[in-house]
Amino acid sequence: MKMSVFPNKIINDMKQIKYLILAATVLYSTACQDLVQGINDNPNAVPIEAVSAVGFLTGAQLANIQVQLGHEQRIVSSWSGHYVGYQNLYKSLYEYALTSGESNGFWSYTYQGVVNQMRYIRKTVPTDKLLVGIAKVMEAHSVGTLAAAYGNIPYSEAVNPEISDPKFDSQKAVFASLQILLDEAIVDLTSATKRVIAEDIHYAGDNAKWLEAAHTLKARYFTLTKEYDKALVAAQKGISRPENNFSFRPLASNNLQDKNLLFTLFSGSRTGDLGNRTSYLITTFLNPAVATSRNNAKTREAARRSFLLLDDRNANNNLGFAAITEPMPMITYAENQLTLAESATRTQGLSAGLTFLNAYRVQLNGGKLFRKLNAADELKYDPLLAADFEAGGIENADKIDPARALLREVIEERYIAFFNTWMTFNDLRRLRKSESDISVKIPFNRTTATRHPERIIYPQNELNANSNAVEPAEGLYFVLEVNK
Amino acid sequence: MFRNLSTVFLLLFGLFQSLNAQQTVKGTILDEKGNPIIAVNVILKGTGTGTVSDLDGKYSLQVPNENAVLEFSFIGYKSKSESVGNRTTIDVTLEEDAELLDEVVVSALGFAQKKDQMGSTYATVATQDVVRSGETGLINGLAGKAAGVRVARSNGDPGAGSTIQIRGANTITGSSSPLVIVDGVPISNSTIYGNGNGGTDAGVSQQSRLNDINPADIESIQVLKGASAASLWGSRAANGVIVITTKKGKSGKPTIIYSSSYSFDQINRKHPLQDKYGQGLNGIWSATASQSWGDKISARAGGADVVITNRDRFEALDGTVYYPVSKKNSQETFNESNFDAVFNNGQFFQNDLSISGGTDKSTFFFSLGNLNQEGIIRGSDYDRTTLRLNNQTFFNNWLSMSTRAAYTRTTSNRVQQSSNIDGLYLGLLRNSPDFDIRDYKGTYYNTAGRAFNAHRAYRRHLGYPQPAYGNPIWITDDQKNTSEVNRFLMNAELNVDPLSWLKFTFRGGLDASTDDRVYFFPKLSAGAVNGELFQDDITENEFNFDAIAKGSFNLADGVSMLATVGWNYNNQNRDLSYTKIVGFLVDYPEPITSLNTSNDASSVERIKRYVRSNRGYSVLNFNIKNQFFLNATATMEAASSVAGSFFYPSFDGAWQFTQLEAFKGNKVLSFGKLRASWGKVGVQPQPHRAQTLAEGGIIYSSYSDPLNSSQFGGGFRINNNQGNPNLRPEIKTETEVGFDLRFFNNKLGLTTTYYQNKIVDLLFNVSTAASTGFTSIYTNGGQMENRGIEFDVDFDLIKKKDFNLNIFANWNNNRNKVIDILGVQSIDLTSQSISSRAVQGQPLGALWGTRAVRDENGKFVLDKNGFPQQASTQGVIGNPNADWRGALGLRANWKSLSINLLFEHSQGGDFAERTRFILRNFGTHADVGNEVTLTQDLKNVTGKVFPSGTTVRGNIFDYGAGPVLLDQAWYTGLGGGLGDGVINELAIADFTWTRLREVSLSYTLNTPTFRQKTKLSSVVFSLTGRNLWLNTDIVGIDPDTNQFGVSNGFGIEYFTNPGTRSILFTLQITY
Repeated sequence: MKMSVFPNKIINDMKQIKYLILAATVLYSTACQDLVQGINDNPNAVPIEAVSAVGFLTGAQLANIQVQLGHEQRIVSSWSGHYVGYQNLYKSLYEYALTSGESNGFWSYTYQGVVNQMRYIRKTVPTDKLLVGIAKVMEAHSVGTLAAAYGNIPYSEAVNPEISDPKFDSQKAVFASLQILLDEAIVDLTSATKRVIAEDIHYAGDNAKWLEAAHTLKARYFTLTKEYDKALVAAQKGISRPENNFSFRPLASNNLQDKNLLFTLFSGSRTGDLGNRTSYLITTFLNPAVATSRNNAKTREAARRSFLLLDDRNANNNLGFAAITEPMPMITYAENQLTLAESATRTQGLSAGLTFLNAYRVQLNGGKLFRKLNAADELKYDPLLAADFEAGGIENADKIDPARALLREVIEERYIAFFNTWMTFNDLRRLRKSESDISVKIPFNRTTATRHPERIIYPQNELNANSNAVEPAEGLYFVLEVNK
Repeated sequence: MFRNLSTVFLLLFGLFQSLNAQQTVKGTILDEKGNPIIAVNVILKGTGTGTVSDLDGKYSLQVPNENAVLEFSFIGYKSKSESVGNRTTIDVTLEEDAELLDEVVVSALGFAQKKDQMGSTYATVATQDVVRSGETGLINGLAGKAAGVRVARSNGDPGAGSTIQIRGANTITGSSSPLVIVDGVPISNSTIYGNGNGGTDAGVSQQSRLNDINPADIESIQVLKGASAASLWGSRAANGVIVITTKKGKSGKPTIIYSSSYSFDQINRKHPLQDKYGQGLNGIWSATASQSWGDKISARAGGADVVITNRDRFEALDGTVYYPVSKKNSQETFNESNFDAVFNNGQFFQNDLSISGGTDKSTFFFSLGNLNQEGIIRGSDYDRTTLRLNNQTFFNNWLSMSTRAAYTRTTSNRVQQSSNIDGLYLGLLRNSPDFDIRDYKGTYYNTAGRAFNAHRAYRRHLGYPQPAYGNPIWITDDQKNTSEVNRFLMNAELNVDPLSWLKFTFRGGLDASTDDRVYFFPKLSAGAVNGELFQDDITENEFNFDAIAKGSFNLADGVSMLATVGWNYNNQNRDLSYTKIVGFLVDYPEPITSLNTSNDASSVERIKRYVRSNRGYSVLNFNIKNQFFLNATATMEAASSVAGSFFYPSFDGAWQFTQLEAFKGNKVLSFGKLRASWGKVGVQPQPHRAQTLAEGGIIYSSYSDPLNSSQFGGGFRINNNQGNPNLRPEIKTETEVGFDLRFFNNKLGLTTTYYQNKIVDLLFNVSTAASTGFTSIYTNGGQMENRGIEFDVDFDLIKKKDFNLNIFANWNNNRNKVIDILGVQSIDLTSQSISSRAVQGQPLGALWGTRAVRDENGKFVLDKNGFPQQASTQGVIGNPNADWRGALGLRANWKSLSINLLFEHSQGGDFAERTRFILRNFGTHADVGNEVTLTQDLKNVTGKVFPSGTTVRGNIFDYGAGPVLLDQAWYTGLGGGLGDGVINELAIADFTWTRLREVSLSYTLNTPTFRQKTKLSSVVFSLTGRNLWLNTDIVGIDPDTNQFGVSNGFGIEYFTNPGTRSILFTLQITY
């Protein structure tokens, strides 16, 4: 007798189950990824490799323009006596109420908008020395502005696909790295052959101009780190003429998205929010009607004041600095010449510095650095003599060393010449602690304030997502390494 | 792919060869009325082998010889035995045994299953209930019909889409629409806003693609709410599945049904407006003021206004001349005539014809339907024509095939709405009561006599300069927003039944549609003064294929198993072409691209979307002694947007404990089932997010100072959104337990379910540290949960030959909570000053905006004048999710007369009445048309004291520090208006509502005499009232409205087009 645990019926069905299990196995193996491979490639955007490297330049330059001339710059300029926040957001920012949300755009434009793109160019076309040199100057320009504004920032580990939480480098270390980067850029640009690059909206591929800008930038950073002897050397090869300024040049189109940024700001819904009609710069510093202004027998600032005075309530009334297509300078002949004047005075004495300053004043007097808008405005920048700075002379009511008095004059001139750039804020902080005798004294924006802001607060997105981001307890008032 | 497929076919043919030469018997099993009975057990007596009848009552079985005896059994019917003899066809009629038949449900794979054997929740919505509801769209017809199914409209615009949500929110940024399966094949239910609509907060209402289906073509609708029932569909099933089966013909005499409905529609709620005060501010009339805080109209001199005739003027089309007004004398107000100028009674006329029939070899169902609707807003319309042919062919006793083909064409025009200066309500409701909108178009002559084409609106009473808000008549008559949809649904199924225990089904389906949309703003439109034309051409298609094998086995005495294995291939393509022309060279009223052919004026964009997936799946259904039913599903899926393959398991079990001896013959409890289920389902990531690519058209703006790379010769950047090649689906794991109980000989049925689910790996964009070189990444992270109880009750109070009375109800209290969103404080689901958001620790959709300062007890911290103050930070100001929702209905038949009632209630939650809040600022809302005589000295918000006895415009209110005067200063300050400069929290109202969704009365004429004389089977006359009664504290708008249309965010209304109510007459003739 046949012994079986199962009735025959079940054994038959078990065989059928085997078929099914077999079928199931086959079917499962078909739920495979081969069938869906390639479908997910984005059909709406071009791969990075499809774009020639130079195609990434224009966008990065626009990002850098916003870094240098945009919202955050306007905030610190409002802390520097240049602007006043009249209403809405700019009013609270003006009164030093700045929170971490304000910096998100600034950082993303720097790291994503500029550095990530420039690194890609360097990696992709390493032998195109012109492009590589430009990319390095662009990176050094944006990152240096960020380091000056915030202090310690991620750099050595930034924009590295392997690192999700880049560490923060010391401010001095960042500047040291940028000097090396600029030196490399100078080597690249020197060896490069000049060619027209339409995508380069600043210099159209003119390596000579880029070289000058690189040197002025080096001089700027040496000034920030108070290495004045090196600044003097670098500035010797810096921007030699106003025509070589590194500027944003707005376009004459029917579109509002390529215009002078201040004009655009005043044209939109922010009209009347921020301006300079009642700023220290306009009402006091440049105002010939005010006794404490910097006007004197050899200097009349009425024309420059008219040029810098903005109409924030009606954009179309602006014919000067905020005129619809008025170029907006970022690295300039003025900066270079005034750096020469300052560093030469500091390292070689009054007469060396004075020569550079007078050369600069010739340009001012010749109308090369701003436009005279009103015929009635007096334009007068007479040559200065060493004797002018003697005790009781120009900038020397308190009878100090004439060379220090000349430095005062140079620093004041820088204060004006750096209108609408970060350098005003940088100079104020550089000298406020260590050389208060020559720094420009600006008023507080809030009657209850006792300190001026010394930096900007790290962006919220960085604080959220980068475990290395630690905001100093003193926040806005934390004095940065280079400014101590 | 082909190699794998051929392996499958080889295997299948291997199985065919095991066929041996047996005799085959087939037949049809019908009930006493001649309707096929599905899933009847057909057993070869003495062997335990057998089969079940299909959807058409057909079966086919191998028998060993002519002595075989077949036993037919089905719960609810008396069993029957038939000796085979030499017959090859045995048709059987089964007699009813008990009063209630075993309910059959259709599974996610499209197969019939007995509801009483299922371990998860299947909600069935009767087709006639949807058809009778008076709704033009299928989705709205589902409202109130099943517990846990939330149907929420955009508004009452003709053809507007609706949100369906099953058991709460299951995703934050993905689509919340359930998967829709029609005849076993998924179809699109997308609602695409496209590029031309200008965001979801404005523009026009968009359609839901499910509404392309004609409800009259539907045989049955099932809602699979739980994860376990839906898990076969893997990463597309997290929002539940709606399974729709379309009608089929039956063999025999052709049935011809003609049905015709006429509906008369009205606005459901009107925003109450004041007509006591004129345009102006501070009690002074002004023709250019935006607000209506002007003079008291009754205090004017009366008669004609004093005008200045020697300056500029406006000449309307009919020659009426308007001059600048130097003194406002007229006491005329125009609220009603202005309203009537743009609203009228809506209507629709629907005609459906169907012909069905067939032979025992072939059946067909043909239908032709047309719906022609004119909305309550002038110029809005919706026209839907549908055509369907369903065919079934039985080649022999083991091979059959069915094909279904449907075509839908809709054309429609909807009117701009919501946050939009070209929107209807914005222009109409902000309009001052003393401004007549009717002369809206004409010519403006300036002081020098120069003529300009002009668009006249309030604030621009001479039609110059351009209007701030469009004149409502311009918006309805001159702007156009048309859509033209052509859609094909095709489906073919081959059934091969080689063995008595084995069946194969091969099923392919295609859903292809195009939607051509035009948005036209003629020159002088408020938001497009030079004219704008946008076109979105959207093409969608989805191809789906399933190969399924089913085997039934008897494992032991009383233990049987049905095993299903299958493979699915699904491919979805979407292509959106966007064309834009800005600035017309000619002023012409038609949307044609030659209005400006210059390259500068136009731009194009094209967005494609491809998703492909394939799945292998198996289902095992065990039946143990007809008492225990266990089901297990396993799905393995690879999808193009997902890295790697994902596995979706599910289990459910049902225990019919009334099969126990102890319950046999119980007079109270006739049926009892305990169910439990567990399953995993997913939500697919967005496609095309794996790579980091180059992007052009970059705009850098640091603060209202944009620079556009396109202006500077173009340029690209490495995208700031980092690609993520490791995307996984969002995974929802759900557990549910429940009872199905029936009492008193099945007269009272109760279904109750408790479910809880947790969704992990939620997908959204997170900000990254900028120093990495990227600013955001779309990634997995975060968790959310839902839990709730569902009740469905069905009670046959009276069941007699001539009189039936049935009461039914459903109830659900879903509780949602966002547990974690990767540490982000909130994620916006909608835009604007009051937004609906995902906020950690809050239910999804939480309303967010500016708040009042409150103390630790939640009381207002009032200022020195007794008014609330604005808090410095925004936060959660409400929760739009209802505490519970329920419906109560009644069906009664008395002889030929039948009555249906359906009430629906939504309890609790918060709703942002933004229109009302903003109209207070504009001074047009009835809330601010009051005049009060003070009985005590009162302060207003500025601290000004109004002495007792004075009569002032405003309201008296107590915020907690004694009565204060709410006047212009308050309503135009913190207490009313738009933007963030107000306390938006004060716009929040209680979302509770109760409505009579449906009341209908119908009379059926089908007496034998009538049938004999007319040769017709029946004629039915019906009268339906839709949405006739609504009770809510929300003022001026039906709360079943959403500014953001079909969206995961809800509970906000902002100048959104209104909802409707209707009365319908229907005549249905059946031959």
